[in-house]
Amino acid sequence: MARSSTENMITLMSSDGEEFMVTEKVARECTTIRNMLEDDCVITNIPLPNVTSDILSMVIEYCMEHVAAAEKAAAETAEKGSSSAPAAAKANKDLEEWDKAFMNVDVYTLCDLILAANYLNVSGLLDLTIQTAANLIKGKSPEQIRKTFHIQNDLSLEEEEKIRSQTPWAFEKSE
Amino acid sequence: MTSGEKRSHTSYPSWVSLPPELLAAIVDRLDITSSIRLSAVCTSWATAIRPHLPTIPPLRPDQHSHPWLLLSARNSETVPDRSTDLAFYDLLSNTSFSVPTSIPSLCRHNWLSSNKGWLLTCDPEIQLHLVKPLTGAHILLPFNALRGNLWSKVILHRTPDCAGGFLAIGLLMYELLVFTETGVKRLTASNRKPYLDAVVYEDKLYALTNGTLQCWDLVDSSFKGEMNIICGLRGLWMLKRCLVKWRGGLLMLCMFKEKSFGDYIAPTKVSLYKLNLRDAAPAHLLSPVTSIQDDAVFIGNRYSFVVPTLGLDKIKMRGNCIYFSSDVCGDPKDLCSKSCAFRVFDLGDTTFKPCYHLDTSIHLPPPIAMFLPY
Repeated sequence: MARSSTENMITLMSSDGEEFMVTEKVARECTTIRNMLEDDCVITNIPLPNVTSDILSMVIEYCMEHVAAAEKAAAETAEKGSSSAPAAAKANKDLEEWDKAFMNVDVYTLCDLILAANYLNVSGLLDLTIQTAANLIKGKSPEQIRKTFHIQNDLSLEEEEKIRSQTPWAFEKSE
Repeated sequence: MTSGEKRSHTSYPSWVSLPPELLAAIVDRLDITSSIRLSAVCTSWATAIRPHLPTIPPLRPDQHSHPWLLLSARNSETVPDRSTDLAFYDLLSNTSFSVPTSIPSLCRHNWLSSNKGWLLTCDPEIQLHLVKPLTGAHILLPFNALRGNLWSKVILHRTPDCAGGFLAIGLLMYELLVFTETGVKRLTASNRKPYLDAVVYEDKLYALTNGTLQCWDLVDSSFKGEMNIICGLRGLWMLKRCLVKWRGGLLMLCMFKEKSFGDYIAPTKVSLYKLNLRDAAPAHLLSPVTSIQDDAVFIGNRYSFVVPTLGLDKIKMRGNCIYFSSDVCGDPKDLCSKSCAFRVFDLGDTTFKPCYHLDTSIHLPPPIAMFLPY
């Protein structure tokens, strides 16, 4: 995964013991890790007991893509003196498309990604995953939401009726 | 990375145990209807979400004639680029509350019309939008080539929830535009006269010009004719005329002022006429109306509708009155100093009254638009 040998490499260790070697720049996309590095600059090995290897590899994939996009934009600006608006717009659109494809995951993975993005404090990924979850909820009835997220209804009939009776209009029609 | 496999998640926290602050972050991006439905999914979500839901007054069956006053629109504090919070005041319950919409940048829109839970707005690019604040539904109207033109009024006659889809009518200076899901139709009469107001009544579109009432068939967009309306009062200057539906009929409301060009435009006289549209003889087209009984009429630059005052026990609005919003009329100094949203014209003794009831000190807050939530 190393982009150049001169860059500092950091090893991230997942909860199941797998090691991921990333550049310091990619690792710094995670604010939690950036803070650790700033506290102790010689640290090279970071255990992440809350993140499994499959989720950590996805988080790293996301960070690498976004670091690469930012580097590309910076290089273009340096080359031309100023970034051209259409090129920047296209780059943004491409990254948005990449994000969209990246979010093509099942709801368990999405939940794990939200938790990992929150724990590692990757604001872009947290925003993306939270918005994806919100989009899955919009316009659905409570039953459709349960089905989508594989949730058991543990509300009593009385509790459910109480919620519905407070705002019956909110339950009138499911789109 | 799609994985269809169902992994074992016994050791994973699942959606049900999502930390409340992360659930709250999701709720921040939802419309109010979706948030309420989310709170009815399971016990842990109900417990986490319910304290964050705004207290919205119950929508009564007679709510269709009682608007919420839209007081302000501002970008959401938590997700400013994704959601707009609308502050409303409900006449029936005399309460103010804020509704998150999950529709971005609404605060930059102009508010044109409202009907059955929908708002019709116009953004700075002159694009018309249909939004349903309570569900976050959002539709763009099919037309966007009117740069430089200003809508004097747009009426939302049918909402997208209706069987035939939405139907809105836009008034430009010399043109009427009918918006439906299939596109836009332009209605233009042969003699160009500026349009003052329009209303849909019994499947016909009535458009008011200076001195005439034009009639169009909405089903086939054909022009049905023009009737003369002369209701000038000698020595008085006509400020504004508008059409209002009232108890199954149609009223025309005229505001007059003694001829002068002072620094503000408060009317000194208001006249109401019933339009006898079923009567073939033109001589009887207008008949003066001296009382609208217990009803009040709200008149703004872009809206006009009747509100029954009998059910409004909390705020005690005056019946038989016309509530002119400050954008239509009034001395700006007078309005600002008393923070009064409306000038109230009493049809009973034909004088202007304070905008709050004598028995209460409740002022109607100044609205930026009227919203019919139901």
